[in-house]
Amino acid sequence: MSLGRLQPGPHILSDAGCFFTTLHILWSTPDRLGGGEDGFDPPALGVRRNGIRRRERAIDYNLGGAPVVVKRTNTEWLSDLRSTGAAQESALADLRSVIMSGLPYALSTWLSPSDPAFPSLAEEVAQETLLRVQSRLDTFEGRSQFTTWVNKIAVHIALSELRRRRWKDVSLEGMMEEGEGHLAGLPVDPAPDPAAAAERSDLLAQIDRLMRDELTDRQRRALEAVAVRRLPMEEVARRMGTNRNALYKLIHDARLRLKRRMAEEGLMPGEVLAAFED
Amino acid sequence: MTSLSGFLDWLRRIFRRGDKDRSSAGEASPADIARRLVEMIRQTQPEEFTCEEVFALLDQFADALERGDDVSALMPMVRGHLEICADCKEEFEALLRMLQGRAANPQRS
Repeated sequence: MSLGRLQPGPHILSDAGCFFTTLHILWSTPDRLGGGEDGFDPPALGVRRNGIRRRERAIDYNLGGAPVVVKRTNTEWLSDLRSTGAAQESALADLRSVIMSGLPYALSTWLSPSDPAFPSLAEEVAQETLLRVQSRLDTFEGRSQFTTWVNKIAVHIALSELRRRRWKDVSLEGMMEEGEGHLAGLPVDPAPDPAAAAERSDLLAQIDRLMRDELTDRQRRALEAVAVRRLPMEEVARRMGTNRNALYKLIHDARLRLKRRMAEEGLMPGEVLAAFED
Repeated sequence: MTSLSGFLDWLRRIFRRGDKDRSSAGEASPADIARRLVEMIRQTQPEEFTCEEVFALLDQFADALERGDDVSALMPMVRGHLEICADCKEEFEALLRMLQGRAANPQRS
């Protein structure tokens, strides 16, 4: 890959009335990057990798509006990105534009584009995505649009980072902290009548017993954190010293065991759910 | 048999913790939490895709959905995973928003 200064190609056109400005970004050689398939386990953004050279380069980026990007087929994207010189650089610039223009939509429920943190996050996500794409071009199977594959990677990097930032100061103990107090007086089981309330209480007790008897402490903790509390898998995994994939397997084993034991005891999930219908 | 109070204590801890984080558990009654848990158990299959396996297929799944294909029939295990895994579901929804934004602004892709 050329590490020279990027020149704006003729394909990068500003919208009328918009201005170009030059942003300096860090560029790293795309070798020795970690992660699984498609880079599933990303390092935190901004983490400097050992032995990776980071070089400063400048690109022209139109802040006033998204640049027009040349349409390419999947084959053309791959060909241009694997080439050298101007073709590769224009493809990288276009791909970066695709990512940057899509991130406001992707992150709309997480971070407003007007948030001061948005520009730097988007910049880091785009940079990291381009690195990962370049290092994993051979894993693209051509079964989707190339830009969808790239955007998938960008989304994964962005949300991983946002989750990490949101939970960075919270320990697993903090996430799972046991509260004090009582439910006395609270409508624990708002069943429509006493008989239904008694049935629900009995079902809850049976499920509780199965969870205590059948699951390991680790399974129960993971199930409580992710399945019930809906804490982010990646952050729970990080704090439990594992990864998201392994945590999913742990929880799947727990769900499967509970399902089998419930069936053995005649507790059919559909019937249990029906008992809790209002 | 473990007493009901033990389970209620567990639910109470979940119930109270929910006030502090993104989880909707804090707004849910113990019955809601029980429903959520049992629903997940009901959906559990002997063989499920992991997060990494779903991630590898997520772009195909999203493109197929955008084309109007019947993704439930084409990729039932991906769909099943997305119904259970909140993290993957968040990423899928974000990807869909990206694709829909792209469709609304075709000059950007």
